[in-house]
Amino acid sequence: MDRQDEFLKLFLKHQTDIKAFIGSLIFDSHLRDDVFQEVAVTLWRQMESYDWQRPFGAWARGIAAHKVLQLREQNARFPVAFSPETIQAVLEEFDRSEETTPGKVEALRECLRQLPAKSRQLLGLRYEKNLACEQIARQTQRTLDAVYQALSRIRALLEECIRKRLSGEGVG
Amino acid sequence: MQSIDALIDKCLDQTASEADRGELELRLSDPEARVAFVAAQRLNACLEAVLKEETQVAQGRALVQSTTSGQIAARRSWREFAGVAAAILLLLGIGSWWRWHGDLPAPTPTNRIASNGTRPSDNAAVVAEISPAEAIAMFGLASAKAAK
Repeated sequence: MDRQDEFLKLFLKHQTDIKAFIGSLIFDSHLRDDVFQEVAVTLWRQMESYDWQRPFGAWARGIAAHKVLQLREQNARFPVAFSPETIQAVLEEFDRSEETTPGKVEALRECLRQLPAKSRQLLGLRYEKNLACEQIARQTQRTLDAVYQALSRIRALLEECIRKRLSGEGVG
Repeated sequence: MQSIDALIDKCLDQTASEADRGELELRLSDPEARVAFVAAQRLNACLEAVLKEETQVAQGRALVQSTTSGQIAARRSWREFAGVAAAILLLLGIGSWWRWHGDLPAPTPTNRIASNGTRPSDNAAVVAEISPAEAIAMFGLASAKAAK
């Protein structure tokens, strides 16, 4: 396997985490996707400067943070959610909590299968169809607060389920 | 106080007020809130990736199934067509065989006229129409003439 293949493999492994980091700084989903693409191109171009001894995720997030700050410098109205200090603090937290445990995605899949149909439907509306909570509230005839609470409760359940699965507790 | 989750949802929906954004930024100065924020963002990205991937896989399966059933239907209709064509050919074959090897049709009258002014096919028609007794009598007459 040559360096390009290895690099691509690393990128594919970390792409969801890079998206999560960019998504935590830019809340507009279309803009977030555009920035992710720009970051992907920059990473590819800077492959030669990547130190293979360093964690790929931290390197890629560093480049992503730099890109976001650069976009804000170029355009003061670029909708970045936080100040540079908060961005730095969020970046450090992402690096500190870098997940090295394999199988989280598989655990999430299993936990999703265990969810009641109504919860699964709610997640589908939010994440597959990218509906806003207000639209979901109208569609499911709930109040907006009820949707926020339901989503929050389902995500907490999933976090707990994933944690148990990865630690081998109560798997079944 | 709103949960980090709810604040993130509001920001994602572009419905967060300036106060909500300010509250989120303020809360992120607390390390514990940052842990919750980053975990929520990671879960959101993972959920989006997994759920969209599952939808794509389901769509892919549906496409493969419809293509396969289309191929089966096409194969079936081709077989049906071939069956009908074979049946038609068989019927034509039987008809032809019947025509050439079965009951021969009566000779058709000809327009050619012999030197004595009769049509050969007229005789043929007469021969075809004589009874067995007449045929024997004619045979006897012919034999007597030959003996003379």
